[in-house]
Amino acid sequence: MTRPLRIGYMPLTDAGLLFVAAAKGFDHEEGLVFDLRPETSWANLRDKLALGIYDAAHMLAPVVIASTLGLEGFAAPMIGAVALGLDGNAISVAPPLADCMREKAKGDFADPAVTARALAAVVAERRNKVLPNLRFAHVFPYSTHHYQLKLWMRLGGVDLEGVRMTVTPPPLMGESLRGGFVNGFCVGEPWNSLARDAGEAEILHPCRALTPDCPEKVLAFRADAAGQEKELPRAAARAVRRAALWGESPENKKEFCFLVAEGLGGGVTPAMVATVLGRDGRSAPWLRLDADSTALSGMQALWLYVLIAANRQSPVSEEFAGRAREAFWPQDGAPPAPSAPAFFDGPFAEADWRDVLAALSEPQRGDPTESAF
Amino acid sequence: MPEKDLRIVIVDQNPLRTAILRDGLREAGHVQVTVLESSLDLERRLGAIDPDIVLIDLENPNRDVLEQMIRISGANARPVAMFADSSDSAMINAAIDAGVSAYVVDGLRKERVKNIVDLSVSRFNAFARLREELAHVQGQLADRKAIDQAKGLVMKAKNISEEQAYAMMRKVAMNEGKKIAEIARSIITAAELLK
Repeated sequence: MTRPLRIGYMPLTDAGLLFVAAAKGFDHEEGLVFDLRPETSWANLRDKLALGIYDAAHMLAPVVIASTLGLEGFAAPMIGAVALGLDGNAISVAPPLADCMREKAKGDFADPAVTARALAAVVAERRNKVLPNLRFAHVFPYSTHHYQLKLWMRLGGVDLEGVRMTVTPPPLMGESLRGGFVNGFCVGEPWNSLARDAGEAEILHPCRALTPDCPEKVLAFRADAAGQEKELPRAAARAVRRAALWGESPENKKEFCFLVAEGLGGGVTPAMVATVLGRDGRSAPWLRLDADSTALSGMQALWLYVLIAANRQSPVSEEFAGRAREAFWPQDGAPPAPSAPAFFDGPFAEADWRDVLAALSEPQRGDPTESAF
Repeated sequence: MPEKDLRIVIVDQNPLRTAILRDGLREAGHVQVTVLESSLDLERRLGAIDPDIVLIDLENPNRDVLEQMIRISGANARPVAMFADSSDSAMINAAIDAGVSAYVVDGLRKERVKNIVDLSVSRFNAFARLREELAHVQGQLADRKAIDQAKGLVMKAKNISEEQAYAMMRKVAMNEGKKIAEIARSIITAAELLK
């Protein structure tokens, strides 16, 4: 007996383990049939999971925490059953901005602190000349993309009042850059590579350089449904992990990249996937889809809560920290807790979470001047 | 009749559906309806209009842009899924089925919101029916074309009349429990292979 599992996903490289699990039949081996349905927005995924239209969803890891804590205005408690990889975002800017930054850069342009200081100089100059604020796009209010962009800027002392943050759907990133509606962005793959290949963007830094081993997407289930039938999320987690294990064998690497590229379509090549996974024998990985990267830990969930709170999107309390921690189902062999070497020493540790929160917190800003609606 | 003119924005790439919805809203007395079709730079353009309600099709990736806007504005606006309490789950489900979502400024009377959402749902559904009918008509046309082409192939191969060719195809279709159009497509495919 195989049980169908309706899974909503965004067409991103880190949905790859779902494609591979379905293509190679690891879902069947765990008694499931992955019924994969592409979506166009994280909001749709969140709502359709909350309403039971999907059984599970490829979800931004911070959204699981935000929904569980009711930060979105309504409580939709979710759990992360398995990670769909680690890291994978990158920061890219429009070529004209990259040129301005290069002129001002002092040091190695591959160092995020160097580019961030160069950006700070560009932002300051634009302020003096009373030019419009630079605009940077991320993908969702509760996203590592959002937090990574801000951490990068803080590395160089960028005046955040002189930069406007906005959300742009990933498929529109390149076009928005070309049209001058945004000047840079943080997005997951394949959108950095596609924008670069189209001549629309220069990739500055994979975010692994800022926050190594940062949880990125998880396979989320509704907390009540998962609690009632624990075996279902566990079986799905095993299928995902088996797909990752299979992809690790040298003889399967090629097929793995092919299956991921095929699942995505739209001009994504197996070579593009191999590059970001570091499986082309040349590049360091920016996105981890290996078996170890699929194991979750409560520390990762707590880390995400700290990122959310550092952005003043959540009250700070032991109770919230505790509830966040419970939102990820821990597995053996979870990777080390995330870190942000520029902001604090060593991997994130539970006992120090308030110190890390202080280190990552933005300085208090005045009243937001943006008017929306 | 609305007590105050609500500023309503429709974000939708489909001009036909947009027209159907806009007309419906106008008939219901809403005069301040703006349509944003292009998907770029949505945040700035929406901010300039400062709407009370945004109606957006669920397939539109810009839903995530609206999610960000409502955060910045200090939770003054919420998607209808959040606005509605649990007693409105039927409304939410109907909206999702129809493929429309609404972002609504806090403080609007619930009935007003409900009326607009209900209207949007019925207009979206009307559009979906239209599209189905269109697809059906197009399908019929394509079927007829395939049947004509297959008929020609059979006539030529067997040197028989049009009526005989058609009768033959109909007989095969009946025996196999298939549509004539399906048989016609098989004949065309086979002819391609045997070329």
